[in-house]
Amino acid sequence: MAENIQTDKAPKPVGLYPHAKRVGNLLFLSGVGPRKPNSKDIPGVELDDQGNIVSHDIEAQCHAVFENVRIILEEAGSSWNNLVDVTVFLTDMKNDFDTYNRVYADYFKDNQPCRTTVEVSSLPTPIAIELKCIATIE
Amino acid sequence: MIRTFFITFILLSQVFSQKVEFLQSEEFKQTNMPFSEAVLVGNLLFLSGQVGEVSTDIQGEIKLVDGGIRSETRQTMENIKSILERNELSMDDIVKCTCMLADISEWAAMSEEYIKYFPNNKPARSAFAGTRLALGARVEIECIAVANKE
Repeated sequence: MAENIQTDKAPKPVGLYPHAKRVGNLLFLSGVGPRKPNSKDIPGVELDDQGNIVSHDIEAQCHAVFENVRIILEEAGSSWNNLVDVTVFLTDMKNDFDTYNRVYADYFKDNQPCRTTVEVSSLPTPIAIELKCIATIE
Repeated sequence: MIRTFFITFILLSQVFSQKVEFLQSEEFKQTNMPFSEAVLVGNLLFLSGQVGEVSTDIQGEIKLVDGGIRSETRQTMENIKSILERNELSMDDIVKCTCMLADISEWAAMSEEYIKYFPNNKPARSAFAGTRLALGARVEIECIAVANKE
């Protein structure tokens, strides 16, 4: 019925869940952040001694998270242009929305999935953006 | 034999006929947002999150409706209804809603207005509060509808 998708090329999930799940012709992706694959490094974040976020570079994190989404889609046999619905979680909508919206537009020139953006007070691991996506798959 | 062939043909045609349409009304295009108002995948219609926005006198400009959670919820539902109607669907075709609130203490007020739009079928629903929504809205609702029309 439903097939799990796991890949070493994308960042390791932070809990017991697959990178994606295929159900018929739809591919549901778990939430994914900007962490580099095979690493604990989060691009563009500066932390203090306690691990609290001092500053973050939303542009760097946008590029990194979109790249992670692309990797998971392609590893599953889908592609960027197959995205149909994107939910975006930001931790600082007031300061980051404009930059995020600009970078987002560069990545979605050819197809424009439905999108919902919401701000949350924090995300697991010190990231400033997380995406949850649905794509089609042949 | 002919029957088996026919059934196989029907099944295959369902697999290969899954069409994807990215839907943007002329009005929506004017807002120049980098996403679609709705996307049709086979018989599922995904809607982008809607807030209680209304057009202003300036072309392409939008603002939130006044009056707080209740009027924003009603306007959000009206906006969802308009998108569905533009795509020949109705509120009865909605199967899932995700309701995002700026403040969870407004959950009851949102629900009371929300339910008025679903006198027949009540869609599956999740609701939670974030810390900030687009345009500073009190509520944003995202839906999935089923387009069963052949």
